[in-house]
Parts: sequence; structure tokens; C-alpha cells
Amino acid sequence: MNKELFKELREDEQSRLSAAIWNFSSALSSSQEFKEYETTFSALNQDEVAQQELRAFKQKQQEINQLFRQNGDREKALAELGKLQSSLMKNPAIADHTAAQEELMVISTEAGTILSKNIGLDYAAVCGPSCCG
Amino acid sequence: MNKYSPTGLSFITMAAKLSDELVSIANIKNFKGAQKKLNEEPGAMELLRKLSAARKELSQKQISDTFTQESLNDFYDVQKEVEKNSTINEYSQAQQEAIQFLKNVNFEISQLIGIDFSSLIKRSNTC
Repeated sequence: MNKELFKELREDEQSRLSAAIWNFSSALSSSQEFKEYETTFSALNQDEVAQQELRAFKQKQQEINQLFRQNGDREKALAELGKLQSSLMKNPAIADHTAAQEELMVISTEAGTILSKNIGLDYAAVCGPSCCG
Repeated sequence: MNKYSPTGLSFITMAAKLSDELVSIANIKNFKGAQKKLNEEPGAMELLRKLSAARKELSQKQISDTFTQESLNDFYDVQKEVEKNSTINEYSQAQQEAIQFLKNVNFEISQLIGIDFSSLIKRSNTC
């Protein structure tokens, strides 16, 4: 643990917190959901076809967003993006990784809810990047 | 059928243990205390509602192009009133400290797992 970040804590508090963070992180990285996420992520990175499809998707996404900003047809832009996403999910590497990510997010969100409820602050909102960009 | 794998379930147990540890630490304890005090003080809560309404009104005036220096002054008056309230000040200070503490905890977790943990949590609210 980076003791500098928690220097205001007493030594016994630092030890207990460090153990709790370590146990939490180890439990997460040992979970089946996390391992599946890592395996599918690695497979996705090695799949050249999937990478090309993802690059094409991102480019098309930018074009649609730009078009939306120009003509403001939100329904049409969303329909086109939906079509593109469906086509992307036909690639097994992308579909597997998306499913694994979803599973990992389910357990992480459950953990986040426990933390937020007990602490009284929305963990993801205060620790994550602003959703306003 | 359980929605988590057995190892996923053990992670949820660890989340509860981490949460117990966090609430025993001064930064979080102070924040919870300040939050309770604020909720129990109707005057302070009313001031916060007043500030929120003033902020909304100001923003609506900006949108409708009816914004004047007077509307800005009215907003500043409410803001000054809020700043003078010790319960609100204590709460804001405690909240900032608790947020910084949590960010540090999240940093540690993220370093250990190799991903920003907070990004794996689905947000209940967006802007």
C-alpha cells in the first residue's frame, strides 16, 4: 500500500485497511468473472479481424455522431449505431468479451452498491471520471 | 439459481468486509456524522434547498435570455447565506475529505487489479 496516501491514519488503521484492500482486490482478481474478462480481453486483442471491425465501428460511430450534430436526427443516428453494434456482436471474440465484461460489471456493481450504501457516498460517482465528460 | 460464481460470491463478502473497515476510519466516520447532523438541522436543509432553487432559476434565466445583474446578485446573496452556515461548512469539508480518501482507496484497488475499479461499476445516475 502507498503509505503516503494514507499517512493521516494510525499505523494499526493502515494495516487493517491495507489487509482489507488486499483481500478485496485478491478476491476480485481470483473470481471466475474477472478471469473470464481477462481471457476474453487477451483473445480479443490477438484477433486481427475483431480489431479491424472495432476500428471500423469507431470510425463509423464518429461519422454518425458528426452527422447527428449537423442534422440533429437522433432517432436515425441511434438506429444506425444499433445496427452497427448488432453486426459487431456477430464476431465471437467481441461477443465473448462483451458478455464477460457484463458479468464482471454485475459483481463489481453489487460490491459498489454495498460500499456506497454503508459509506453514504456514491462510490462510482465520486471515484470515477465525471459522466459529463 | 445464483447469479454469481462461487468465487464472485466470495468477492461480494470481501466487499462487505472492506466496507466495514472503511466506516471505522475517521474520514468516513466524520463524514457520516456531518451528514447526520445536516439531515437533523431543518434550517441548514432549507438553505440548501434555497440554493438549489436559486441555481435552477439562474440557469433558466440564462437560457431564456432574461438574465440580469440583479438575478446574479440574488443568487450570490443565497450563496453567502449558505457559506455562513457552520453545519453546511462542516458537511462540505467532511465530504471533500471522505471523497479524497475514497479516491485513494480506489487507486490502491485499481493498482492491484490492473483496471480502474470504479469504471467497472454501473452508474445509477448520469448527469
